[in-house]
Amino acid sequence: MVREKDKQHIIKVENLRKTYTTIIKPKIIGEEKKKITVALNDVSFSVAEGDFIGLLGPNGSGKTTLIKILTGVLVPDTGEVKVNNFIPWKREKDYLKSIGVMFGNRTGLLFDLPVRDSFELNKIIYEIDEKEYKKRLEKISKLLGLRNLLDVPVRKLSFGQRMRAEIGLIFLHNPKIVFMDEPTLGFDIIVKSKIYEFLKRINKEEKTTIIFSSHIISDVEKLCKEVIILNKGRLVWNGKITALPKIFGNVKEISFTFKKVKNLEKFKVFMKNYKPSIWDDKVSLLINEEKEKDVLSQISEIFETSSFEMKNPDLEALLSKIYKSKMKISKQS
Amino acid sequence: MFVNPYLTAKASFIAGFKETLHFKAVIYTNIFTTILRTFILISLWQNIFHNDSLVSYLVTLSFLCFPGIMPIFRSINEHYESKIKEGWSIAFSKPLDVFLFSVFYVFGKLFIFHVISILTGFFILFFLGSKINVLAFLFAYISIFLFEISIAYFLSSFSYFFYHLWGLRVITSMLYMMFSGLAFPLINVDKNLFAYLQFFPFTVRGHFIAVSLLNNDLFLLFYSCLILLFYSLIIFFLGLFIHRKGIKKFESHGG
Repeated sequence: MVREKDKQHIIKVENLRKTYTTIIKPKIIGEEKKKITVALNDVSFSVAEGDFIGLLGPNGSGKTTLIKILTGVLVPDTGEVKVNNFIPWKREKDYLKSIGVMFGNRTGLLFDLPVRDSFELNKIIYEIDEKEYKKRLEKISKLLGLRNLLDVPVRKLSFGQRMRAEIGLIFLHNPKIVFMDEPTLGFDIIVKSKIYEFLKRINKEEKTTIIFSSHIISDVEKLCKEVIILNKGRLVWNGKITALPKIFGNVKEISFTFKKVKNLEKFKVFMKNYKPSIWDDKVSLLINEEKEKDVLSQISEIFETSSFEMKNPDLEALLSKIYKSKMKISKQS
Repeated sequence: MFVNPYLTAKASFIAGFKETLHFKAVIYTNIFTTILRTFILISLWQNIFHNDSLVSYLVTLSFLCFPGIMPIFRSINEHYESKIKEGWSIAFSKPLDVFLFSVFYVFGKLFIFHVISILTGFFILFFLGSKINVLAFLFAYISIFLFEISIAYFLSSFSYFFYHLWGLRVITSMLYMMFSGLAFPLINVDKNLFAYLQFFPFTVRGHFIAVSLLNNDLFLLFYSCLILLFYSLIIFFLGLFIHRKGIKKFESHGG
């Protein structure tokens, strides 16, 4: 795929497949059973240099597996992967030096030492010369507000402060590509906005390619123009985030609250056909505009409604439709 | 494949050393426990054995051959095990030799404790009238350290397959205690038994090195260190073999 012809592809993934085999042991005696879980199936995409890509998908969709393959931690069953012209799982020194990896639930900081010591350790690991190190540290500290935190032991930092330090650490060696797996897990709005600002600026100024994985759609919406959506191990969308609603055509989101169900038989059929989301007395569903009249008449027959709303669906609603269904919209945009 | 090993070792040693310096209580505890060990052990040994040469032997073992009370392998193994289990994605996606990092980080952390213990040992031995060649001791210390590193590496390789390595560590420590002479002196052990024990790595690592240091027997020291080196290589390569299998497992399962 050539999304922007003038840009060079830094990540190329073709027909990627990864399965996990779990051995289920019998309770007392009997044969062991093998359970094969397909984590990624026939995933192909490419990312241009300097892109800020959002990796979306529900839990268990294969986001972390994909990031682990791209960072060289996991080896795929089949398929080809080239990141910055390297095969990731060969873990060559030059490749590992060109990437930055952040897993939201893991830490790269030395817990009992001041933040500065972790930065100094990375300076040696990534062979950064003294002059460059000072320049980078100054820039990162300024952008992430780390100046007063550098001499504080990591264990004494708040969660937000620690995560800011963590993000600063992965950008210290000026990596070409940065992989972030659920980095905004548990952030408040202020920390989030500071980090968003930092990531956008680094991406723009240093042309760092960033792969940002999250299941929080609003995070990705704010940061990335393009997204890769995974569902049940399959790639369901790869392209501009703004183009996503257009794929569905004229879809409307109907939401209403009801006092009681008037016709139980028809209610069951309605549930089966439209699979709406129900919370207490609130119902919401996505429908095509052509079916609007039919659905509205069915609702009035089945429910005694107290409030009713019809609007264009937001991204979250569309994605939940994708996640629930087995649909495969577009392999590539 | 990775960055300069010397730089990695230096950086990780400094990080570990700084961590000890950061917790002043650790330094005070080290000094205090060494003083306690000195008084308790020496008064105990003198009362039990009524023999100064036996006390010198036990001081050499306890303060010089086992300077941190616990064998070094335990700390390295615990650190590296946690790196494998918790930090697989973090540590192994860096251009870093994680084991080298663990070894020198732990060495940095234990450095002060070892220095205090070794200096105390030399001090007591001086008063007991035993003289030990410092260079010979340094040679023995390096051999002991290499042996401990290989044991730690070997045990860590099992962390890819088992959730807890606590049991393995305890069993290995028991072997150390029983056969090194630390739990009970091996000086009066039957000579026939020594014919077998002289090739047993834990006995060489403790008893034989202590005896050669005390008697200034450089030939025995060199011979013991050679045996230790031989065992270190075998154990290290066994560990390497299991590690490779473990890494293959992690590459397919994710760790």
